[in-house]
Amino acid sequence: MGERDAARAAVRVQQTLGDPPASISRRSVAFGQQQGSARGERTALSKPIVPPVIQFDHVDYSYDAGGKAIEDVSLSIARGQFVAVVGPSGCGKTTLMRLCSNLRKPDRGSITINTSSRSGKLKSVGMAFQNAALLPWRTTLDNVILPLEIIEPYRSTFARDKVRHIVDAERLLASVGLADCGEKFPWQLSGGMQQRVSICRALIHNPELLLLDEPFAALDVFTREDLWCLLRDVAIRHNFTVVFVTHDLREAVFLADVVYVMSERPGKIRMRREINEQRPRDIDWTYTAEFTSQVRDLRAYIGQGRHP
Amino acid sequence: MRSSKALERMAPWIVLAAVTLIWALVCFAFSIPDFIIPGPWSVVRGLWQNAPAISDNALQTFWTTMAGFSLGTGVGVLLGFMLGSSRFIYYSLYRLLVGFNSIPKSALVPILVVWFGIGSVPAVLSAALLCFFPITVNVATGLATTNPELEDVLAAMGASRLDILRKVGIPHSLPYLFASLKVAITLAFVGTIISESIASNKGIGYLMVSAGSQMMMPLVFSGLLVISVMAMGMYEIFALIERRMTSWAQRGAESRAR
Amino acid sequence: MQLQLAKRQFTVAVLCLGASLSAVNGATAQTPIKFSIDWTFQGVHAPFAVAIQKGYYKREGLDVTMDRGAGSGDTIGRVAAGTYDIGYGDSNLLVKFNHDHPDATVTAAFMVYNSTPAGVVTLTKSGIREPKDLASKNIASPVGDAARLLFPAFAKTVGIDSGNIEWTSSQPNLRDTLLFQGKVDAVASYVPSTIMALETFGIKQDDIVVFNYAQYLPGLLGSGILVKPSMLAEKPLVIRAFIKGTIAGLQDALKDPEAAVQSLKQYDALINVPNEADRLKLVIAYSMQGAALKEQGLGFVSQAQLRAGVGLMADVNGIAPPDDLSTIYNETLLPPSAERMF
Repeated sequence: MGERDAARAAVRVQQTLGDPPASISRRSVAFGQQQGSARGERTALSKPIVPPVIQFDHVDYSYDAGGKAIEDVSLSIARGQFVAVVGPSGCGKTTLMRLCSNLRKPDRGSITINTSSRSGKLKSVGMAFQNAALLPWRTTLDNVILPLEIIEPYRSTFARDKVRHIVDAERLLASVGLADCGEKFPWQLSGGMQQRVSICRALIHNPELLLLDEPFAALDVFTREDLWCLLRDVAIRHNFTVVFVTHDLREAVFLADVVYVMSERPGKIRMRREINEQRPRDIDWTYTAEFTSQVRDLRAYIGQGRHP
Repeated sequence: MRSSKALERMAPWIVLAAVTLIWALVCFAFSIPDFIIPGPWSVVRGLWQNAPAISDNALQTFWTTMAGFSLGTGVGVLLGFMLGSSRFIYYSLYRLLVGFNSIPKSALVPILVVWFGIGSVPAVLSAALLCFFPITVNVATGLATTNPELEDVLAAMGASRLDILRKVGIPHSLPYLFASLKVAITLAFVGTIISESIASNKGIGYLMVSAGSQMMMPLVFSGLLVISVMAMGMYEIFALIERRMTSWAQRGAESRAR
Repeated sequence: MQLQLAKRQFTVAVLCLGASLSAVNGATAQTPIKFSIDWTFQGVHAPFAVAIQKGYYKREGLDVTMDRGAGSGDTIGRVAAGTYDIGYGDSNLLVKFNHDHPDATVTAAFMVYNSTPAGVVTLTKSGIREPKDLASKNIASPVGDAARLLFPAFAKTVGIDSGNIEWTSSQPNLRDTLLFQGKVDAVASYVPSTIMALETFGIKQDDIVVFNYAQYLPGLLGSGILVKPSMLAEKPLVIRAFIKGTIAGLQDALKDPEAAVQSLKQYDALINVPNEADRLKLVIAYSMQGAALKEQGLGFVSQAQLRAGVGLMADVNGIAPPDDLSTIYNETLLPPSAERMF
């Protein structure tokens, strides 16, 4: 075992809640080894150092009398964590996300969202959907700065700071490779480009939390891989907390620290799996056997759930 | 490519010329007398001979219609806004509005006369009452069909209902509004004429009744012609405004036409 | 003593002068009058236009604005509702209106035209020579038209069964066209209008056959100045002033119809002056020829005619006539006969 292997071993640690990947220390290596567990279950010994950004406690939700969309969901999302939620269609992933953003209240159980705002509404949230949902009557730039017209404290100083906001937006667009698209309208952009704009819009106001609901589902493989890398880098650089819903297991394993697997409707959390590879991960990793085995494990688990 | 674009532009004039020709031929072939259906030539001649009087009446009708149209638009947008943003208001009001809209406005004019006397006021009100409904329906539809995901994005940021209405609902409804304005302006003319023919001393509506009772049919047709031209002109103006302000919604139409 | 008497006489004289001066002032303060005629501006309305243009109303202290109407029935309603102070319309219609609206009656205060030239018109080519030939024929007339309403009375007088008539309901402006096209045998209408329409169509006077109701139904009343009874009671001087102005205009119109019709142009610039002058002359020919009228002056309606006319309208409408005929025509405000000659 060389130094590199040791380092890699150190990295393959059961991360305690709240430690960002950049600050792994030897101390936590020992700590993590104590907590090691093959199936990756959360241990009772791990003590949170900072309170979780989002915590669900036995949450139920149904849209109508037709039955529960999600049932008895308990989870905990730490600051800076990248969490993926996977499961078959209709398992309640989107419902989960809606509850995270406080757009709905649970029927049963409680949701705690730790944010700096008093009203309980998580104002510092960025959202992006599968459908880019850009406003077709605004240019790309205007779409990106839209959140700044709504969210305080940007809103009250909007007129004064508009020039600065535009500069920030341009920079964001440039960072996703859309440097010259500021004056274009959404319908002049391809699907992938629109999705990138959507992500810029989710980021412009420096949110604490990113909620992404299958944002890359409608894109082709090449664009998707590009956007994976983009998201990976952005999340690392700004230390976002991310909740990422997807049906693509490879995507989940590549991007996330923790993967939650949900069952079919009514959605329950069937498994919580930690991905031990240190972020940021290289695309090449997705072609390794290790990656594939993790994906296969998840796949098998979901398969079980689908055909009991 | 260039010739087909030129053809597109010439097409309405060609059709107009053809229709006029057929009209003249039919009158000639069946020897239809002037007082039943005047031919295009006698209509134009009547127009020329009575130009000052006709233009006087036409201006009256025009300004009355503009006033009625503005009033109808204001009321229509307000009502559409209320209906589109509140389910409660929608359910309480829309049946009443449909019922009201079905009442022939010519039946309302005598009531308006009792309250306001004859002249411009019943004509303005008549135009407004006739044209507000399509505007209301369209604005309400525009507001009600907004993409819920767009609204979710803003709501998650903490946008109030008013914010969402201003940033998403209203711009989304603009194409619907402009489409309805084109229809409403023509209806406003109809409303004005109805009122003028019963209760006004001036205007194209009055002209048509007066000329009709004197059996001066060419003059009646001149009145019809003047109305058509005015309505067409206004329609084009609103179509132009629509294209300018909602170009983002129009691009499909252009590419299809090609 | 004599000085005191002189002083007293002087004071009285000053007071009288003051009173008469204020009376004069009161008379020249212009009272605004809203006046509605019965249809669009036509030749028959020339007297009013003349009176306004030549200041006949102004010199009586009235500032009159004239608006067009939408049928006599509508005009009666406007006066009853108070939308207009004074109206001009067919006084025959007052009988039924007052019966149906006892709380809002309208009264005629001056008969402008002595009779209503309603009747049946046909063409010689229809083969109809006498009223009896109308039996079981096809007649065009708008629903509610006075001529159609009066037809049963006319039929009874001439001895035909009005139940056998086949009525074609049509708008007034289409009715005469139907006759011209031969689609109907005859029309029941306001005769001068039909005659003028037929002449526009190119039909000669000789080919037109007219049965004027006034010949067969002697009571038929004409069109007059309509007011509310309350106005008669409260503002008699105003009404009399209006009547006097109207009489002056009417006298001018009867003397020179063409010149009178010119005054209408300010109301409707598209009026064809020769046509409307012809219309006016026809109405005069049909309605203003009675000997009694020439003797007694404009606005004269004998009690016999009034009773017969009111009875006729009550009959055709199936109602009881009013006991007090002055609720239909109230002559108390007419100026002396000498001022009403023509």
